[in-house]
Amino acid sequence: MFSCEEVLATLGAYLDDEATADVRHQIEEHLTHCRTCEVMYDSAKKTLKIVTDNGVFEVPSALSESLVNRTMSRIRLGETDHSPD
Amino acid sequence: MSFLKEIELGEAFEPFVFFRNNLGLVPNLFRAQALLPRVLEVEAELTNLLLVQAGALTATQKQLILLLIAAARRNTYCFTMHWEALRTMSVAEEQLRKIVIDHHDAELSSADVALLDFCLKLSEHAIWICSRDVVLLREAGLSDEQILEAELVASYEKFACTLATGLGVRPDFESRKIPQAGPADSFHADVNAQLTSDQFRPYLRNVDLQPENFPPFAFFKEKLGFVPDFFRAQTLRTDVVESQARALEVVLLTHDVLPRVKKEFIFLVISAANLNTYCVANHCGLLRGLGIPEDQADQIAFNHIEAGLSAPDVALLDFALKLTQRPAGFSEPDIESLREHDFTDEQILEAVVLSGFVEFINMLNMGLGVLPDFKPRHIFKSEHFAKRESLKLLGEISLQYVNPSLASDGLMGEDARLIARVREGDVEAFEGLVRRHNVRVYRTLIGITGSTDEAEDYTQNVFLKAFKNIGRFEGASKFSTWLTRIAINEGLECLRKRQKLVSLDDSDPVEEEFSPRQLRAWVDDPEQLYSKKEIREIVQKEMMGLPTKYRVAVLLRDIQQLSNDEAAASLNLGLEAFKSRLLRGRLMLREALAPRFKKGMEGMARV
Repeated sequence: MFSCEEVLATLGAYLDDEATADVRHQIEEHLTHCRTCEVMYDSAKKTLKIVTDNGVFEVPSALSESLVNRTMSRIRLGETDHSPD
Repeated sequence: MSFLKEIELGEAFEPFVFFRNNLGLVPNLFRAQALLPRVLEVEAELTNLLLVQAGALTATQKQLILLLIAAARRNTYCFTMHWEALRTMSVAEEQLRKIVIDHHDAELSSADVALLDFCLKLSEHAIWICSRDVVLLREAGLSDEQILEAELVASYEKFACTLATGLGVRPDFESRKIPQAGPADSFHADVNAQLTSDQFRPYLRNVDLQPENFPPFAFFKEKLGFVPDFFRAQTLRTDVVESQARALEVVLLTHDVLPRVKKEFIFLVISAANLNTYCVANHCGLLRGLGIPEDQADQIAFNHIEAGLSAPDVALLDFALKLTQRPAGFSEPDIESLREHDFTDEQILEAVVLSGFVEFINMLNMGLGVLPDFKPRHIFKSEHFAKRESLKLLGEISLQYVNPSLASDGLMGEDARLIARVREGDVEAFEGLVRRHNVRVYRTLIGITGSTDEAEDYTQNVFLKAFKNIGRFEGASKFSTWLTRIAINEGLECLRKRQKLVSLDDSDPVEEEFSPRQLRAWVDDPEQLYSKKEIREIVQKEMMGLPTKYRVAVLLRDIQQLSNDEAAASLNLGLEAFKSRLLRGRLMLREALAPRFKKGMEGMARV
């Protein structure tokens, strides 16, 4: 059976659903016995869901439009230097 | 004798009689296709029309075209066959060797040299063919009938080479070693001539025929719904058009061996790999008629691996691409891999024949210069050629080759079209690129800098830089990856100015001592605790508290939703290095969020 360290080392692949069948099995086996790792895994999975599902760093469409316009007007002016101070 | 199961058709089988009477033997190439007699019938007919019957070119001219293309394709079977044919026409071996090594230096007439130059260019660099090449041939004294015949014969040879490779047939005679060297790069790559050649399409004279007075056209109209201009462009040889109609019916329009839709997929992927704008547009059109939406057809054409096809379908398309694009690497295990997916030998044979047929059509089409009957969604240009060749050199055909350049967002997609226009001087086309990518760039920058003002400024800088350097974008990665890379550098530059951090590679004290401290269980549904807006603010705040290199990893992968490969490429990191950084980042973020989401927070949250 996997140790806690081994679980931590393979957790990334497991979270991305990229672990091999064998590793997956080992991890799942470990999680049923180890409360700490189970909490780790559960909360890491929830973290991913929270981070992906809530429009973090979302860009309002008005801002996006204004970025397009400001960028294009600078390009039309032939501006190629880019450093603002 | 060959890769596939063989059966005896008997020596009285009509195509075999034809071959024996006219070539003196039944070549192994044809014996190996006995599982599909109907295919042999059309092949015998086409062989008769193009090679046996007297035509506009002499028999020697035709055999020289065949020989040089077989040599350029490094196809020993076909090379041996044509070498033998030319010997029986009493061309001395020494002369043949000279012609193969360099036909410019073999005392051929200037018309023959021009003809062979043209056919080799068509075979090996078809994308560079333009109306000017045809003008040169006419100036060398060749008639349109002769040029058309040369194109047909050259395309026939590509068909034959594909069959020989795919079937693994042994030469009928003692096999000839193909002399090295050769005239490979004597062709003329004239970009300007190419750009203007659109005005002179199709290149050759043709005869105005209608479905009412020409049965093959009535056949196309009935079966395809229209008469492809591809066939109208060959009306100097109505007999060959008729024969191609039969071939099309037998090889593509049948359903009983491989289903029609799968055959259209094969047509599509090979045509895309051959950078054939016309055939991709037309077969996307035909697939639409078969109920396959354009987007899906595009995805298959440009990256069939990620098109959601079944494993056997992917294997079938891998097979067709390897056979046509990397014939040197093709061998018996490739046949075996299809058998493992339960394809029968009949089906494998049909896949090989169809692949050869697509090579024939693609090449002939490039030689004719026909404009698509459907509005093309993708126009392949000569600059894609070098890219394709370099990808082929990298090895594995379908993944390595189709994937990077042809992914839906890649070289051939909307981005590529816009980039090409910008490069041609159309500044306004750049707006499309800004529109498509500003959100991604801005998000990267806000994730790195944490400041809306700076993210806005630097987003514009990223695009100004990209505009200035668009000539340097090589298409080795996706455009979006390239932009993200610029955005990351700009973001770091911004931080550097604030003197917060020097680079992503700095090792960080946190790295060594990281270990999970927050070990209380989380509530069952953490997203119920706060509003979406609150969660957004919490995550953004905690993200900004992470060390930059971990923050960027989480940002690219989990917020921008890039794949591990893309995210690693954006950071110029190896995949494993990226993954370990990502895991660390995710766990740090987990640590930071834990106090807000752990059990016991249920009652506190909204206070």
